[in-house]
Amino acid sequence: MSEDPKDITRRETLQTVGRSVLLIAIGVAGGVGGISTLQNVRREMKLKGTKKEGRYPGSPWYSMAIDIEKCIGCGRCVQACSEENDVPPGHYRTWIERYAIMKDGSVSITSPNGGINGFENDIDEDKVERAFFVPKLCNHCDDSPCTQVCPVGATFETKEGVVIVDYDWCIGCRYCIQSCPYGSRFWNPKRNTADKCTLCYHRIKKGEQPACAEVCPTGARLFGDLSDDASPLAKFVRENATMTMKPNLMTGAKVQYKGLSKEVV
Amino acid sequence: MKACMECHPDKAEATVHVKKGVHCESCHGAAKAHTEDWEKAKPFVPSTRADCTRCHAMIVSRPAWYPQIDPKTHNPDSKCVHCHSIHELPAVKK
Ligand code: HEC
Ligand code: HEC
Ligand code: HEC
Ligand code: HEC
Repeated sequence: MSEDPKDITRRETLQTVGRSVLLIAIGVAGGVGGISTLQNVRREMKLKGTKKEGRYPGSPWYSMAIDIEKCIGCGRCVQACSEENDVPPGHYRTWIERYAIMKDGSVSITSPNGGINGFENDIDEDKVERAFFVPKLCNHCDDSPCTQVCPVGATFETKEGVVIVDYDWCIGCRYCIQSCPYGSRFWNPKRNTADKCTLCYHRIKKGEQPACAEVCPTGARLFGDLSDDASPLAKFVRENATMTMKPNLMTGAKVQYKGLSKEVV
Repeated sequence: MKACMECHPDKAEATVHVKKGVHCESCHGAAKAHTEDWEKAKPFVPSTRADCTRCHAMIVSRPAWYPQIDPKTHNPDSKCVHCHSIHELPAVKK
């Protein structure tokens, strides 16, 4: 992205203004949000990929399902994502965490370089009760904290349910990065903006799969349209006990996990 | 995958991997440039043990159903492709 001086001034000014406005906004939202969230609890409890009153807000309504039992931690998804989206080294739009639940009850969570080069068999098998991989990405929340804290509306949910960042409009205040309870956002030093998974918006608009889903060798990532009952994704969600991450936060997370352990949620 | 099939239908036929849904690019790397100009851009051709062990090495956190080998004991002196054909049958060379 070109950085002309005018733009920088605007960004800097807005950063300052944004910060002060935001502090106030967060205070107010905290109070008001508390009440309205409570009112929404019952409705949101039915939440399965933000299905409200039996319907999704849009059609198509894109999301992804992750089948933890299928992930082999090869890291192809992370690599494909980085190549496809020109993600700077050391940052990840999607990443893999390895959970090891030890016999002594402790839990070890590791993600060397986001899992981009796969994993080593470097945990002591005798001490492990259970171990598995958990691919992570933006949950494309329907009531996402990140879009709510953005002071300039640079990050928003598209009509297809995909949360994206308008890189030309982002002022770089980084509130969204802090607000994401899933750690899905990062500062992109190449773009000088916040950045995140777009479900490969540029690909799905052409009818293709997101890069990560396309290269997954075991089909652990299933991309599709939740609103289309005939889609493999909708079928998967219907037929399996799936769950979203941190449902107690009422973020309206859309990404569906099958086989999510209590240690991960 | 579809794009690759147009020119390499033979490569898909006998491939256990492709039948199981493993994408060409999962082994050959991103090959978009090659689909646009196959003469100029040649995809990566896997040949080393590391190219295979990345997906098949025994790791305790890998699911039990998934075929894994211990690279230290599974024929450590040869390349995997000396015995395992990826694109031809039989899948294990005689
Ligand atoms: C437009 C036709 C075309 C498409 C599409 C295409 N290829 Fe090729 N590919 C070729 C040709 C022609 C060769 C050269 C064959 C030869 O040298 O014998 C080749 C060679 C290769 C090679 C061998 C490279 C080497 O160094 O020997 C690989 C691997 C390969 N293709 C993989 C792919 C993959 C993966 C895709 C899909 C992403 C793909 N191809 C799509 C035409 C195509
Ligand atoms: C499991 C990994 C794997 C997958 C999946 C895979 N390949 Fe291959 N491919 C190889 C390996 C390894 C070779 C090297 C030749 C050999 O030993 O069989 C190869 C060789 C080739 C070659 C010939 C290159 C040469 O120089 O001989 C082409 C072309 C090719 N693959 C295309 C494809 C296409 C198209 C697909 C998808 C339909 C595909 N491959 C899927 C591993 C894979
Ligand atoms: C991107 C990951 C990936 C890579 C790289 C890969 N494989 Fe596989 N391989 C798979 C998957 C997935 C299966 C299918 C597992 C299943 O569904 O049963 C498989 C199956 C196999 C099987 C059949 C095992 C069985 O008992 O059914 C063999 C043998 C095999 N691979 C050998 C290789 C060799 C040799 C290489 C290196 C050229 C290689 N693989 C590279 C993912 C990979
Ligand atoms: C000396 C020949 C040879 C070499 C080298 C070799 N294998 Fe094998 N491999 C075999 C044979 C034989 C089998 C058993 C095949 C069968 O039962 O169908 C086998 C089985 C497998 C299986 C299936 C295991 C299972 O539990 O189902 C996988 C996966 C595999 N090999 C991967 C590899 C990988 C990866 C490499 C390279 C690191 C490799 N092999 C190197 C001969 C070899």
